[in-house]
Amino acid sequence: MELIPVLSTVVLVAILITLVLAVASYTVFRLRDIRKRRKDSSAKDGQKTGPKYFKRHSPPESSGPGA
Amino acid sequence: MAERTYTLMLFIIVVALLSASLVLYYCNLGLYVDSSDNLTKFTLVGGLVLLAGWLARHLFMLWFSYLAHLEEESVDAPDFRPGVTILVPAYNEGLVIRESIASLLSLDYPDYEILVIDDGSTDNTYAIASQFEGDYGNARVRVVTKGNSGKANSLNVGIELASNDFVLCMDGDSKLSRDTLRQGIAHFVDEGVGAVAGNVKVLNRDGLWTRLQALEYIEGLNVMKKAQGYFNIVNIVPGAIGIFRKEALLDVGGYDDDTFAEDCDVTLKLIFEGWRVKYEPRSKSFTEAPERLLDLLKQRYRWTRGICQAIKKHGRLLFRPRKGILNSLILWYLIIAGLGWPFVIVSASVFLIVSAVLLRHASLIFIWWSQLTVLEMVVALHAVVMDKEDLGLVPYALFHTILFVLIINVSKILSTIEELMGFKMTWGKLDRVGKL
Repeated sequence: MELIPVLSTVVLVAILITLVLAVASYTVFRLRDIRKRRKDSSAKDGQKTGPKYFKRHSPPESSGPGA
Repeated sequence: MAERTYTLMLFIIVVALLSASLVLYYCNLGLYVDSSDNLTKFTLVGGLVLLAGWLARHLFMLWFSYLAHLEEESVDAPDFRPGVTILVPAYNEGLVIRESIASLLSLDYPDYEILVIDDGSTDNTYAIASQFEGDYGNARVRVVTKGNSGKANSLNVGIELASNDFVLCMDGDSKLSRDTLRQGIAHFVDEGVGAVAGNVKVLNRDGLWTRLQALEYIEGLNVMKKAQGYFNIVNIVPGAIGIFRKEALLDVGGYDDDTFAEDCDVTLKLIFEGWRVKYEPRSKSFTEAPERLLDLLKQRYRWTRGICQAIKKHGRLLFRPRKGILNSLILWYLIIAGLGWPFVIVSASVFLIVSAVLLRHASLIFIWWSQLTVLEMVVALHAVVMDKEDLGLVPYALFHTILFVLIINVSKILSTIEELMGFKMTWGKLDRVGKL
């Protein structure tokens, strides 16, 4: 068996696998990034629902000018 | 003198080998490939043009980096020792900040200040850094904290608070070599020099990906910076180490936060304002490189999109050179090397595969790849010797073309497409493993 065709096939397969690996890993990285961003933004939205610095004041029933 | 002769000899050998391999490529094709049809002819000519382009880029890079290497020895100003402020912006660097500040305290320089700017960290970065505050003789440490507003704003705060005329900007996760300031500051004797880019080294070389990055930093990034430094137009003063004249930074309005590559942006602003930007290989910064592929892609995604944004921002200067034609050329170089070359390499690989399968010319791929790899190894050897680096990195050039370059280039292409389509993005801070 000749050496050049064997090595050529090895290089060909290696390049093919690398290209597939490159696209697949990029897709995984982007999907993770998007998922993380969504998670972060929903966490921030959750924080916005409540007052951050002030507690709502509820006067006691007995207080007020008419009491 | 002996070192000069040795480097010159090595350079001549490199040029001879590069040229010989190009000739061999052309001669060998006839032995393995029957070039009777048009597609084959096109493939052969395409491969040859690509190889010639690759060769031209590397010859340019090697020749001018060699000339810069010869000039290195003459850059010395033992009497010029102005005060320098080291700016250390830190956001959640609790794992590495202690080591980072401790290493800065052992620098060999008579008068410097370390200013840590805590960018609203949510971990113990500020608490750890505050323990170092005080006077250490030739060095002083100051620590300030502020709300989280990004690296660019932290550096601007630092520039404003710096009490010296020169500032060194670095990352909170980096370490500097002892003589960094002494070597770097010498360039500022020339009053037209606005910035000096340092030599970034990979610290954690314990895996395939980090070793490949270590080689890439030496062979690709630093040799090119050396060549650009010969013309005083280094296109990126890296965030991990850059020394600036404070006046120059104030002249261009400091760092902007409208791109994700604030280091590239500020360098272009300096160049377009007529400031000279040099490179100093002996000013070294050791930094933690991403250890996993996905982290590496995250880093490169930000770099590529940041560079695209910087090119877009300064795009009007592509055809209207400002303060010298070379300034525009550096912008063209960013486009061609950073964005155009990856397209060429990936499309050539795909085309060769298709052509090999359709025409059953797999041997063509082998010849093309082996020539590229031989060239890559010769260039790696030259770069490693010139940078007095670990020779054990040279064999990694074997994986460089087939694995590393392809993966990085595919990611560059996809990131560029995302930028052109205006996809949203975030900073994407890397998780530290604390190997500093």
